[in-house]
This record gives sequence, C-alpha cells and structure tokens, in this order.
Amino acid sequence: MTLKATKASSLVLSTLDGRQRRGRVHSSYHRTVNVLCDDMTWLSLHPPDVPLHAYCVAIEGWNSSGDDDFLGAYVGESASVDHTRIMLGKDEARINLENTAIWQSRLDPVVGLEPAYLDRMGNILRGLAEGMPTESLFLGVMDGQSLPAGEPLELLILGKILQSVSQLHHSWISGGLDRTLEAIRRITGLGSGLTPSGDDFLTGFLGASYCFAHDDKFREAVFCNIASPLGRTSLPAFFMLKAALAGHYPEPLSDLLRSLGGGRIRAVKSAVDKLGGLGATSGHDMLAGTLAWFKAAGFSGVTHEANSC
Amino acid sequence: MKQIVVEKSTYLDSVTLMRVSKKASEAAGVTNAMVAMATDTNLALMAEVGFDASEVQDATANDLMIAIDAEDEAALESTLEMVRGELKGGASGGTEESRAPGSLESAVREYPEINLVLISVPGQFAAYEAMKALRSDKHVMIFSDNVSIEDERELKTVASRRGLLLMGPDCGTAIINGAGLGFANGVPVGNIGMVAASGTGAQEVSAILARNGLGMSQLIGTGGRDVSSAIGGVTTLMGLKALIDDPVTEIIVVVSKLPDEKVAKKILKAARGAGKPCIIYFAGQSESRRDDNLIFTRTLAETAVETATAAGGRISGSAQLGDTATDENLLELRCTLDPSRKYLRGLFSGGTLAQEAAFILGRSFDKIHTNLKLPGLVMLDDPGASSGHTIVDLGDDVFTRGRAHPMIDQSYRLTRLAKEASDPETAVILLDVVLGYGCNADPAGEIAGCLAGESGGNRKSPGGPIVIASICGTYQDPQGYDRQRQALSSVGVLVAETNAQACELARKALGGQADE
Repeated sequence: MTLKATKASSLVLSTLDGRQRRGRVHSSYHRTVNVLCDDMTWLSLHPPDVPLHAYCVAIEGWNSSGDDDFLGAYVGESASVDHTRIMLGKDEARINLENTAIWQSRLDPVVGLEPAYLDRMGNILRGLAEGMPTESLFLGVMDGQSLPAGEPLELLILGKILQSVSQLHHSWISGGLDRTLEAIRRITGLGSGLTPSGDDFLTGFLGASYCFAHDDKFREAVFCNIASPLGRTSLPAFFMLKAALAGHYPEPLSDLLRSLGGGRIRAVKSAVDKLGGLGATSGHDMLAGTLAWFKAAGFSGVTHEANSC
Repeated sequence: MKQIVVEKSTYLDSVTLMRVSKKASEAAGVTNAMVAMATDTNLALMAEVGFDASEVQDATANDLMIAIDAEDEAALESTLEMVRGELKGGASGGTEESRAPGSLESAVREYPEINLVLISVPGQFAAYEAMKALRSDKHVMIFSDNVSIEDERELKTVASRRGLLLMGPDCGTAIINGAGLGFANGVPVGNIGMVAASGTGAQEVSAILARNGLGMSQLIGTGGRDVSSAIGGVTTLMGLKALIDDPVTEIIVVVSKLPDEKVAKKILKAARGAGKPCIIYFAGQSESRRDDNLIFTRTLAETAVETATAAGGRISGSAQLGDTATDENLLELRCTLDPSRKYLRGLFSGGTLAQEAAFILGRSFDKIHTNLKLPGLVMLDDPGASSGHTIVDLGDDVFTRGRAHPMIDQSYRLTRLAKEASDPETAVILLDVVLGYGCNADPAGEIAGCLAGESGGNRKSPGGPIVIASICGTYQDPQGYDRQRQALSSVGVLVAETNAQACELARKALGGQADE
C-alpha cells in the first residue's frame, strides 16, 4: 500500500539522496513511527495533524483518529529509505516522497536586537508563562537547595532540574563554559516523559541561545557533551537535541522564537499557547528553557569560549 | 520496600507515561512511584533516594524504568502488575470492565490469540485498516464497501503471500468455526463447506439448508469482485483449498455472482481435484448438469437441494416446488388483477437475489430494466425510477451513500414500495426479506405496515398489484422466521419458500412463458 508524504522537514529531505539506506523501525507509539537507518539517519513518521519537527514526515491517509499505529509497523521491522520513498517490511507499506512539500525546519537567527528589547521580551514571556504546569521551572533559580526527603519522585526530579538550572544560570552569567557544560550534562536525560523534561528544557534553552546569541562554538561544545556518550538520553530525545544544536526546532518552538524576534505581543501569546499544547509537558518545559535563557543571558553580550571536545 | 524494573526497548508517548506514573503513585499501599526512561540521570536520582539501581545495570536510555516504593510486597506486586497492564493496553480510559481497545494495534496486543479481524469502517479507511491487520498476521474480513479495486488487489496479494485469508471487501457474511460474521443467519454446524462470492447467495443457500436441518462447517465469503478478471479469484481459490483440506467438510458449495470466464475455469479446475462433491452455482448458468464430482445448478434453491442430496439429507417439497395453497391464492389474485396492470417491480435488498431474479425472469420476459450490470438486460437511466418490467438492487452504492444498507435500513425501500404500489401499471411487486444477525429487527413488519397503511396506495383496493416475497432466514434468526412470514401473510403478501420460487410465482402472475 502506497501512502503519500504530504510534508517533510527540510532536514529530512536534504539528508536523503539517491543512496538506498537500510534501517529498522526503532520505536512505534501514539501516532509516531521512528525509523533509524544504519548510518544514523533518523526519521519520524506521523499523521498529517501532528506538530512538525526536524525529523518529521507527515503522511496523508494515516488514519489517526483514535488510532495508535501506522499500518501495523512494529519495532525491529526492516526499512529502506531513499529520496523517493520509505518502505517498511516486504514492500507492504510504502511512503511516496516525490513532490512532498518542504517544511523549513531550520530557524534563521535574529540579529541586531538591543539588550533592552530582549529584556522586555523576557519579561513578557515570563508573564505569559505564569500559571503553567511547570511554573516552578520558570522561576528559574534555587540556590544551594538539596533534594527534599520523602517528596514524590516527580518533585525530586523537578528539584534536581532546578539545581542544574541554577548551575546553568550562574555559569552562563559568569561565562564559565566548563560549568555550563557540566550543568547541561546533569540536565540531559533527567525527568519522566519519552523526551525527558530536562531535554525539553535544554531544547528551549538552546533554541533561544541559537536564535539570539549565535554562539557556534558553544553549540559545538554542547553537542560533544551530549553526544559522548550517545546513550545519555533516549534516542528520540538525543535526536531532538542534535537537531536543536543545528538550528532545527519543533514548529511551535520555532514560532515562539520568531515571534519574540518580531516583537508582536499577540503573536508571542499565540505561540506560547501553541507551545504549551505540545506533548504532555514538553511544550511547557521548552518554554521554561527559553525563559531561563532570557533570564540567564542578562543581555550583556556574554559569549563563551568553547573548550575543545 | 523499593524496586526498579526495566522494560526493554519500550516506548510510549509522554502523555501515557505521565498518566501511568500518576496512577501508580495513587495506588493503595504505594508511597512513591515513577515510570520514566532509564536514562543515566534518572537512574542516578533513583539511587540517591534509596532505590537499588544495581538491579538494573543493563538498562539503557532507550528502556523504560518502573520505580515503585510500596509499603509491602503485595502492594508492590499489584502495582507493578497494574502498571504493566496499563503499558500493554496503551492509552485508554474507562474502567477495566468497560474498556475496549482503542485501536487495532492495542486489540492485537491485548488479545494475541485473536487470528481474524473484522473490518467495518467507512470505505476510505477500510484498506488501510485491513493492511494493518494483515501485517499483524491476522486473517481479515472486510465488511465495508467502497474500497478501490487497486487496493483490493494489493491487499489480496499481501494476504496470499502471508498465507492469510482476506474476505471482502464488501463481504456481507461468513461463518468461521461456528461464529457468524456480518449478516449471519442462525445456522447449525455441519459437514457442508461453502465459498461464496455473493453475500445473500450464501445466506439463501445456507438458510434453506438450515431450515431443513443441515449445517455448515465453514462459510467463507470472498466479496463479489473476487471473481472478476482484475482480482483473479484469489480468495475463492484459497477458500476452496481450505475446504478441500478440511477433514470436517465433506461437501463443498461454490456460490458466485457471474464470474469472469478465465477465473471460472480456474475455480472449476481446483474443484475438480477436490475429491469431494462440489455443487457449483455461477449466477446466470443456463443449464443444470453433472460432470464427475461437479454438480452445476441454475438457482440458489436448486443448489441447496443438490447439496442436501449430496449430504444425505433432503429439502422439503414446498421449498422445491412451492405449495398448492400459494398457487391457489395466486390464481385468485390474478382473477381480480386490473388488466391495465402489466409490469413487474422487483425491489431487492440482496444483490445476488436480485441477480437471480433477473436471470430467472429474463428467460420469460423480453425486456427487463435494471441497475444490475448483466448481459441481456436493459440498464435503467435512473435507478430511482422504474420503467416497464424493473428489477432493482437497492443495495447498490448509488442507494447506500450516506445511508445504511437496505438489509438494515429499509426507509428508501419502503418509500419506493409505496410508490410502486401506487403506480397503476404495476402488476406484481417482488420482494426479498433477509433475516439474520445484524439485519433489520423486523423487516417484514415494516413492509406489512407500509402495505397496510395509507402509503400502501392501491394495495388495499380490489384489482391492486400482487405482492410476492421470499424470506431468506432460519428459525434461529433473531427476527423469528415464522413471525416474519405471518406479518407478510397478514397483509395478503404471497410468501414463497425461496427466491427462485417467488420468481416463478411472479412469472405465473404475469402470464410469462414457462422456462423449460
């Protein structure tokens, strides 16, 4: 059965070429089938109504109303991929990639913004984020706190994230790259969720950093930090972070970052609401990460010297 | 007591993980619980709060971790079991009792012993769902219609490659291992196996046999298009082979709408080598004959008679020849029929029954207008309006878009019935009444109500049209065979035992030439 890919990210379509890649279905869950190729190419197949992201391929005809799966795809099933099609199993599920619309997943950095402008945007964002489920993350800094004994595990994780966020905040302000990387290492893979909260938080933080600070050396250093060892977090989260470091973000986060650069409050509010609807808490965690960057950056022109990795 | 358990390579969306985590935390006797990916940082945190992470040393960031802190072992075990059940069942709501699988995938996961999936969804989704089922190695019956022929061909290719049976699309009925699927009649279990590219054809034959005490081993539906040149009889041939190999099946019946010539040859070649008696009904067959183990029949009723004979049973005389009382009633009605009434109006809910009527009556009358695509008949310009002798299949797509099949919802048929009854040119109205699970709860009652009421038009006045009906059903059907018969008789409808017999009555009523 051949289904048509209606839209795919620019990252996916620029990666695929005439070479046939072999791979397997890595994971299959609610409205998502992830394919991992032998050369570490990663693809996420979705029905058309799922928010776009760096690895997405949206498929027309995937009956997703109350439906978990995609044509019976199962973990470990063989896959072959080239620039014209994705094939699962023995020629039974084919996705036609020809004439697929391109969704530009790479975000253009915003240049020339005044510190006062960014400061104002940070305050607006903070105001809009109040009352959200992960509000405590937005509050940002909890100096020197320890894990409260006897608290629910979710709260313990939150506490742990807050500790690392605090470290990230201070290291960013002080410009200490090693301490920043250490904080990022502690946050990576921390928390519940398929993409753990810490990784979502980092994606938001890195997105704001990418969009408004343009520090390539810093991003390279972060990439080395999370890529070694590769298994620091789940594979879907790893690829999300990898894409984030290359400037590719989920559509709701990209929209927020663009709106912050554009300065139209109504657009920012709409983007915050949209991001808040992403996943269980992923959107809120990304928002918290974005806000944390605004708070930590201080708009003093701080940049970091990258360590070799 | 604390325990961490790891489920290898398990991925569930965040919403599900959060929900299960929360439910586990709130379970009786549980102090703390979390379900999360087993990343290094999560495991380190668990160790910090007293869990023994060394128990799960092999866990990777792509595995799922279930951490439970419970008051005692019983609470821990029961919570762990609950969490595993929730993870296995996927995202779902409701109580244990009320919960139904939310998707084909979760149904397959929860009930791995299931080996057949019945697809009944809007046509545009049917092929997609069927492909999922096939790729899960399940046999499939597609009840839905409006599936493209290209999709049908591909589905049957995949099914055939995997050694799976794909019944349909537009497969109205099947009986597999005693379980009726789709529009199924109450039929006893027996030694007769049937493969049918015809839903109501299969019902008519199996119901006649059942009313005479004979039962089915398997009834495999194929969908009407299976015997077309485009599909090549894939399912019919697979079904035939299954019946040949089945030791319980001693007699094989093949019932089909008019098949493609080449496909018919392939079917006959397979049947010839069956080593069992095979009774063959291909709609439109002009003669009854025998050829070694093959017995060819001209009507569905004759098919039932020959099958019963091969099985060592017998069909009642009235089913074969009609009964004298009905003939006498017909004679009386004919005498009072207004001479200006000349035409037949057949309003069928069953496609094969309509086809059979067209073939039988086409032998006696020159021109029959119809919406059936058959040689020798005149296509109606507008299926909604009769012209001269008319036989209409009301189950055709043109009548079922946005409306249930007339075997379920008779609203259009009743409107049309009233219209035909009021037409001064209508001499005979011919009807089928199909019973069974999934069918209309009281089809005869609704027809009787229509004919007895104002909407029945000229029906009540002397000289009005003669109404003839056959009932396709059994004494075990939920509508009650005798009750349905009584409802029709009470408003003067002549009730025949079989569709063929009803057609014969219609021929007599219209004074048509007997078919020798």
